[in-house]
Amino acid sequence: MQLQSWLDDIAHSMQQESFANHTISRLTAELADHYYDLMEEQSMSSITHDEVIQRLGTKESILRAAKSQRRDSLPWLYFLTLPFIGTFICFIATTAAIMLTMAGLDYVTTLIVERLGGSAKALEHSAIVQIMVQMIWCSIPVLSTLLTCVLASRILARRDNKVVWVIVAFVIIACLSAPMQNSFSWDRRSMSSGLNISMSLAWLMDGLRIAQITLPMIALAIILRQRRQRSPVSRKALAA
Amino acid sequence: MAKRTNPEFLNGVPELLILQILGTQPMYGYELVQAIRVRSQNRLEFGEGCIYPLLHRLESDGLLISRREEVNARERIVYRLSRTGKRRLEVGATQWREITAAIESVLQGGNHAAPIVA
Repeated sequence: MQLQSWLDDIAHSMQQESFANHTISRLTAELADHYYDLMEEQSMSSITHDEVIQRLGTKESILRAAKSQRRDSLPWLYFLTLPFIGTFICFIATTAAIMLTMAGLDYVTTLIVERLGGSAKALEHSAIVQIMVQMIWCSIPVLSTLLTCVLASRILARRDNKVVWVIVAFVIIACLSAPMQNSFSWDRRSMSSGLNISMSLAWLMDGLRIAQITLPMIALAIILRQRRQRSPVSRKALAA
Repeated sequence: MAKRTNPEFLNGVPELLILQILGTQPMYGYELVQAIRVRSQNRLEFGEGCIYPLLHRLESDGLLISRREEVNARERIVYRLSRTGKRRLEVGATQWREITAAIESVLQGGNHAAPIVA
C-alpha cells in the first residue's frame, strides 16, 4: 500500500534521528488521518496518491518540521525525577531557612533578657517569646511542607498536567507522616491518657499510610488515561 | 531561482495563527489546515503534514490540550487552547500588531523634520 510505505519511510527516518516511538506513531497516525481526509475532499476529482502526498508535504519537509520542534529527548525521565528532586530541595531549603530564622530569634531573645538584667517584665516577655519560638520549632515540618507545596507547584508543576500535583501531594504526605511517626508512637489499644487523642492520631497515621499507598496508583491511572487519550490509530485500523 | 519558503522574519507566525484559530473553536489537524487556508484566502502555502509537529510542540509547551474524540464517525485527536495558550495568544497578537504597525510606518516613510539649512 502506497500510504503505508510512505508512512514507514517517514517513521524510519525519524527513528534514525532518535525520535521517541510514541512521537513517531502519533505523527504517522495523524498523517494517515489527514491523508484520508484529503482523499475524501478530492473524491469527486481523480486525485492521485502523489498529489495528496504533495499537499501533505515531502518526507524531508515533515522530518525537518519534526526536528525543528523537538524538545527534550528524555521527557519522561525529567518528568518523573524533577518533581521529586525539586520538592526535596524545596523542603530542605525551607526547613533550613525557618531553622536559621528561629535560631536567630532565639539568640536575640537571650541577648535582650541578659541586657534587661532579669527584671520580672523582661522575664515574662521573654517567656512568651520563647513559648512562641518553641511552638514554631515544633511546627517546622508542617510549615516547611506547606511552603514546599507552594514553591513546588509554582516552579515545577505544569498546570495542565494533573499528575504532577498528585506526586507533590504524595511527597508532602510522606514529609508530614515521618515526624508524626517519631513523635506519636502510641499503641492504639492503650488508652492510658483517658482521652481519645491517641485513637484519633492513630487513625490519622493509618489515613496517611493509606494515602501514601493510593496516591501513586492515582498518578499511574492519570498517566495511563492521558496515554490512552493520545494513543494513535492502530495499524489494523489503518489497513481497514 | 528556487522559491524560498518560510523567510526568517516569519518565525513565530505559524504558532500565532494556530493559537488564534484554535481560540475560536477546538479542531483536529485537517480542519485546522482548512481553516488557515480559508481565512488567509489561500495566500499561505505550506506542507499540510508539517503542522502536526508544531501542534505536538505547542501541546508539550502547555499551550494546547488534545483529546481523542469521535468526529464524523472517525476517532481523531482534537486540539483546543489551554488557559496558558489564551494568555500567549493575547500577548502574541498584541506584539504582532505593534511590530507590523511599526514596520508599516517605516516602509511608508514618515514626515521627517526638514534639515536645518545653514
